[in-house]
Amino acid sequence: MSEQMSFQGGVKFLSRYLGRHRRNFALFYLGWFLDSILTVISPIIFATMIDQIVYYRNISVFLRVSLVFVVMSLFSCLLYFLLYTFHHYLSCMFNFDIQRDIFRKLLAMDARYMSNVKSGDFITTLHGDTFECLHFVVRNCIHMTNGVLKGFFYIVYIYFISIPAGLIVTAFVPVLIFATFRLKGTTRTLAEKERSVYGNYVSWLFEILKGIPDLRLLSAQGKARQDFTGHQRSLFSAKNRTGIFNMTSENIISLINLALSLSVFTVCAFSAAKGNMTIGNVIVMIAFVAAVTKEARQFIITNFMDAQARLVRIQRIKQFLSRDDESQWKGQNTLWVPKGSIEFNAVEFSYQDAHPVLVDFSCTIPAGSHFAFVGESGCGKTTLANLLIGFYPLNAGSILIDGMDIADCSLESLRDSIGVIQQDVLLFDSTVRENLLLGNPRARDEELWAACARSGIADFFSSLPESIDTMLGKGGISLSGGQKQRLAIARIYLKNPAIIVFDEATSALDAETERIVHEAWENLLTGRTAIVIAHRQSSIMFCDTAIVIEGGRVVSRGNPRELAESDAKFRELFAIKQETPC
Amino acid sequence: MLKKVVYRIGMLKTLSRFASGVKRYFAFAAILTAASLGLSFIVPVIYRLFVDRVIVGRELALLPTVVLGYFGCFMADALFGYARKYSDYRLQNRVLFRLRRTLLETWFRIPFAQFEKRNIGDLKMRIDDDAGKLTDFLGAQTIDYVKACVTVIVATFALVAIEWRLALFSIIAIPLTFYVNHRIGKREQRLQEVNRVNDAKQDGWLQTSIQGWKEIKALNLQRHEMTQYVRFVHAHALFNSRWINYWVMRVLVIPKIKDEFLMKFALYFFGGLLIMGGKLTIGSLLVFATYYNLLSDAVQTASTADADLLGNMPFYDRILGELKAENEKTSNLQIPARAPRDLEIRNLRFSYPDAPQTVFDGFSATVSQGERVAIVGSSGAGKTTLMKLVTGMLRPDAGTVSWCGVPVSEIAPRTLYSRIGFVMQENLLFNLSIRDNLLFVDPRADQNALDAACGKACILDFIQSLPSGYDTVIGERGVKLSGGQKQRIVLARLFLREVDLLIFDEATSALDQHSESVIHDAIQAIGRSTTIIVVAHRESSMRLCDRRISLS
Repeated sequence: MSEQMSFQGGVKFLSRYLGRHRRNFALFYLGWFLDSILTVISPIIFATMIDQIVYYRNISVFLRVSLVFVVMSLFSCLLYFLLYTFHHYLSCMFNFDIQRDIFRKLLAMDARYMSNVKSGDFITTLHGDTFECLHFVVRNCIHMTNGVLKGFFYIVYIYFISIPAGLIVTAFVPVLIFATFRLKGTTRTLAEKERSVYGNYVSWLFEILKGIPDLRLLSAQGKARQDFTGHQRSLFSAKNRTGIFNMTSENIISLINLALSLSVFTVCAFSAAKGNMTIGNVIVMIAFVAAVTKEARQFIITNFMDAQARLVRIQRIKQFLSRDDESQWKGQNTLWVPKGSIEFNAVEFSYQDAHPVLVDFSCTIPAGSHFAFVGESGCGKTTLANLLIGFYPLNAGSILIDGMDIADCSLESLRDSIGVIQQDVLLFDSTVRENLLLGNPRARDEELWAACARSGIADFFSSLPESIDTMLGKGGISLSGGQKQRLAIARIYLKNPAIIVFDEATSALDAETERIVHEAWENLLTGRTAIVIAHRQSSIMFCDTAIVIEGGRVVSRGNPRELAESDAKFRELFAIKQETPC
Repeated sequence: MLKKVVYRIGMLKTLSRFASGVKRYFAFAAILTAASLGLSFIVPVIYRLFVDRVIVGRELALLPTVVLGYFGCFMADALFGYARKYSDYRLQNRVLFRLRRTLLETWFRIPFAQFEKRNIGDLKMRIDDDAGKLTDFLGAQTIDYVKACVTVIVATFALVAIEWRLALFSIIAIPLTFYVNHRIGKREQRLQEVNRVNDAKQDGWLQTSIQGWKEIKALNLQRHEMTQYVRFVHAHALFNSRWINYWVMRVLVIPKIKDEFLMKFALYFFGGLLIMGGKLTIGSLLVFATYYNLLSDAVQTASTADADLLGNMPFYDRILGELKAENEKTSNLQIPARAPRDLEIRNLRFSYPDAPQTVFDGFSATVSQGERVAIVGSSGAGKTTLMKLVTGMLRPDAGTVSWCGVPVSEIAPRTLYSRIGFVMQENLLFNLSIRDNLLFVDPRADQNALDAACGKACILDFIQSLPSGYDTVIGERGVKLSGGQKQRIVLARLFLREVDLLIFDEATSALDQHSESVIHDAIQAIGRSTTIIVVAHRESSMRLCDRRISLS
């Protein structure tokens, strides 16, 4: 765990967001400053009123003072309302800036991060942590600054009334601050621990909730219950620990405050006995001492304790935003694919250093040809597809498309030129049309229908009650595996790339549906380059060339029919083995 | 007002069934609160002593009494605080835990088809946030609410006792507060509902976007995603703008007006006039102000509690509705021990409620124990539907599907699913470690059992070659593994348990022919006492089986 973010660090990080709304925040601060002035003056005016009542009994002065007080009060109420509605306006804009940056960063994150990310954790960062940023600015910066200013004023005025009282207050305030700092470290650690336990729990919870049907079919509720109880216990004990510790800290601080108040009471009593203290002054004194301790409590204790917890969260945002992402990819040129030939040159790649997946993989795919990649499960076929669309940088070697090294090209242009169809199809809980438009947001309805017809799903869609305006997903209809595949294929038609990669696309379809899809492939792939990664002999036979991959390199290459007769490895992959397993 | 009291009592009754064994803490907390209430009335008396006698009256000798009094009250209050916190934890944590567990159990029991329609973000909110809100009724909405009400009554008497004219004037503010809070509370409630729907949608959308990252990148959908996100945020902000004004008025501005204007100014203005007229001492006035503070704080607490109750009622009711959710008719028959493990389908008739055509119309078939049967048919003929009927996920419209002579829909699910192994087209592996994924099926399996199962599924070598072995975490939706590796783990999971019936619904469709054959061998090696049904369209899968049943 890297070092904890300091207060200044937090301010520095947020200053770029504050900077965009400089004037608004300045105005906001001014409003609160005004409010502080009113807060500070009010007890003094009030005390004057009291003295008039008790000692001087002067009605006209009393009435004049009362008038001033009324005006001030009303103004302060109005100010309050304005400030809080303005606060909301600021919060919308400010939070939005941060959330947008966080989300944008997520979209740019590289494949390594995305395959590890816990969605529950991320969602907590996106929402919870972001809101703490503005709270930090308002409560920990603005209110704290004003609190300190008010505190100074109070202490000075107390000296003005009675020097011994002033001395007592001056002596106690450092004690208060010291106590706070001692308690600081523990609070932070506890808050961090609580959040991490919660994040863990939420991620696990999402997983389990999604998988409830599967748990039932596995009759696995027992373990789910066990784990659930375990998580709840950890949550509760983390919460308890934090709660008790916070209570104790507050009690310690309250005790110090009480000692202070009682000392001041004593000073007042002695002064009054000597005739040096009016009741008005006593009231002001008590009010100011209470205010100083309140400031100390609220703005030093609460702010530092809360600030610590908040800084932890702000740091989380900062760390997230400064991670390496796909912008690390150096290529900037726009990839232009006039023909669609692909060349793998001595490609080396491994996900983890100890396990090389591809070792000296070389292969040339001429434009317009249909290549099949075959090999055992885990031999690197899907990895090749991942590398081709720039999910990971190569360890060594290069991949060229129409002579251009893809490392020199921008990821966007690279991915524009290549269509990928996988087994898991992305579907949002929205209409069929919106899901189709993901392939090309500017497509018109005729183009959508044409694409659907080519992929063999137009009939199904037109049979739906609301045609392509029907809702999919939760709250709508669900599609079968084959239908999802055909929708994905329709998307690719809309995207219209020069190169298409089928990553086990039809593995989950039955023979008949696959046959329909293969017919559609015939149309689509005329004049386009295709890479087919599959286990089905039918898909392999569809291609004009097959590459057998073993040990991270090409071991055989040729026409599938010829390979089926002559190549031992090829036959091994597609014939039934008679020997013992594994 | 009465309605809310009745609601609270109703809630307590509902929650009390989750509170067995810890109900005494509720009483305990109530007593502590009463004690702390008493304290809050004593402190101002000490204050009056200080002002009237020590400051104005200059009686220095009473100072030690004042100091000791304050100190004593502090210690007592701190003690009460700890005791209350302890009691709260015992009670609330226990109830919350039981509540959540009951919710989970409920979800384990609702019909499969119904569950498919639920939004996961919504479920999470219910078990996490909404359930937490219910514990309000164990403290804030009940004990503290009663404390506030009692404070109001006692403080009113105290005020009248000190100076009845002033009391009359200042008490008028109270019903006004209740009324205003009530009106504002209602508006808030409506607006919160709207936003909750939006938030649930947004969470679900975010989940999909994170899991579908591959396709989002491949289709260069980043800009589209951004637009969608901005739309969600705007919707949220829109709600907030309307809501915030109400909230600010209720929680901040109106109390401030009361604070500044009523309590400070008006009170001291009229009080001052009374003092000047000799009808009141300054000490009494200050105490009056303190009691009035107590009174208005209590009123504020009570009316906030009421408004929160209104605002949160949709959440409370939703949770309660969830707990009462329709369970499947409890099927609890056991499988007779010596009956032959035959699957018998007689005159099965079934069609989906939304689809027009009948899937099965008088279909009959028998699979005897130990047989290996392939189910074949074209797409849409009903192969997967048949499997769902065989495993009780769907009920037949007419006819019977029986296992060991008992209709499947009447066998206790727990028994049924512990004796059937089921591998479907889409298998969910959890974003947890391989070990955790495997242990779901048998939490007590030891390392040898895990190794044996993985060996049978031909994935043991792979797992052992991973740096963290069994503790390797599988990424979102098992994304880091290849398709074949995922399926083999799913199969290993299956082999951890001894089953009577194994159903493979296109289980090896994602594997290359080599891996598939290796697994087919493992399946072949399964003892002949286990019945196997394979839904397949590959010749290789069908070769495993003795005969075929064709669906047309």
